[in-house]
Amino acid sequence: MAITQAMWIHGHSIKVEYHDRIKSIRRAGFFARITGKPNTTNWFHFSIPTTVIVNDKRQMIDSVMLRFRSGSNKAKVTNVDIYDGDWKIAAYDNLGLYPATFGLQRFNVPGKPEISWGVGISIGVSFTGTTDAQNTIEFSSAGCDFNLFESVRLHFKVLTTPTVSIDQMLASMREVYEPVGVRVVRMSDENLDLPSLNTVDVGECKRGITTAEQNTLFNHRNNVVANDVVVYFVEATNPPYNGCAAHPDGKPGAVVASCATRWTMGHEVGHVLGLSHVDNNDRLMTGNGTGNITNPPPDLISSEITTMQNSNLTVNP
Amino acid sequence: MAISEKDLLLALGNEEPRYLEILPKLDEKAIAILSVLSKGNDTMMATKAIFLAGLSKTLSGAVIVETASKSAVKLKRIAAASAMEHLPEEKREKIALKLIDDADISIQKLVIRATGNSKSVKLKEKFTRLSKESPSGYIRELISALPQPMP
Ligand SMILES: [Zn+2]
Repeated sequence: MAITQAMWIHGHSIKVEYHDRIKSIRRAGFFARITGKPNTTNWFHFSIPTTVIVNDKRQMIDSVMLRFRSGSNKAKVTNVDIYDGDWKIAAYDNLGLYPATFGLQRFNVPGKPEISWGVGISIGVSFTGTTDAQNTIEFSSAGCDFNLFESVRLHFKVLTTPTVSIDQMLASMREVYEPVGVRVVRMSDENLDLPSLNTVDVGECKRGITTAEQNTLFNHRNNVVANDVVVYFVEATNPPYNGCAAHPDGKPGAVVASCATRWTMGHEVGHVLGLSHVDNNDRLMTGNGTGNITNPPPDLISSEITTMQNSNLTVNP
Repeated sequence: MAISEKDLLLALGNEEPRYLEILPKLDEKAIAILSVLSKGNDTMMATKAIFLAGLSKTLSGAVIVETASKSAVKLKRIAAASAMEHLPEEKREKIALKLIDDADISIQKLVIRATGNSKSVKLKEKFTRLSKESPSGYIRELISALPQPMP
């Protein structure tokens, strides 16, 4: 999966948010050197020149990168927030980064959103040293990788909020899908007040076979277009399963039970995309339960990736 | 050959356990493991164990389902209601009498389906009352749609 665009900007271009909190900023040829006043926090900003459309394709952000070094552990990067125009697309807070030498620090952007307005990186730094040498940080460069991913588009219909949050299930699914080039797009969220289907009959949960209750549930397709996948979060299935990916023809989707694991949604959507069980607890499609995954995040192997790419539910950019 | 504890845990751990494939491998030792699981804190495993216990059509399995029907954990009571239809009639009606008073619509739905044809007078009384008083139109309709007994 080659990078389609990589944009970098030199450290000289850094913008200081609170000038009264810094003792000095000096732009040497190599970097911008900032010395903060003791016991201050500050924000520094990079605007990355962003070609949002290349060859008629809107670019998706993969990650941003920073090259910087600190004079001591008293000049720490505490936050890296990433924006597309006015939209915050990723936030790394509670960091404590103080590399002594220039290296490349990469910050993943989950969800790999399409970029519309230009990438901004805002960096929070705390200065807690007593000497200038301790309170010095040098930024040499900031950059951003772009890519084009196949997408699986999910709609969430919630009858019961699961114990492991939907955000966590989505983040876990992205941990597995994104490294193999499939981004997971959260298209819509809707609450469904359907108490009679909250414990939904799924029978033996076999591909292509659905119960009357599944048929009724899967008729709820507000905002859903062809090739979108719907995940219905129910309280339980009858009989008890973590989830079930059997769905009526032409209505791709799955149910996920309220006490499913954080990997269940990715596993069930894997079935919807055509994957079958394997006897290997390192893999997402283990037939021994994602609760028994030994080495998270679980893997998808190349033949599975091919199956996913061949599914008409993964949409090419 | 009977299933080992390790294999039983993996088979039930499965996102979608193949209950009918596990069933012939269950022996009393395995059902004792289901009993422990049914009382455990892993609710997902507990509900699967409760259902499989009911499916086993054994006395010890029925005890597991009955205990689960009294659990404070709603998902375990739902699993007990799911398992009910596989229990001997007498046991089923006893559990139904307890579970039908549960305010949860899923549980009521499963109880009505599993025991709708029951000849138990007490259970019929409860159904009749629910058919008039249940706040859920769905439950009232479900009971009204039950086949009426011959006069
Ligand atoms: Zn599965």
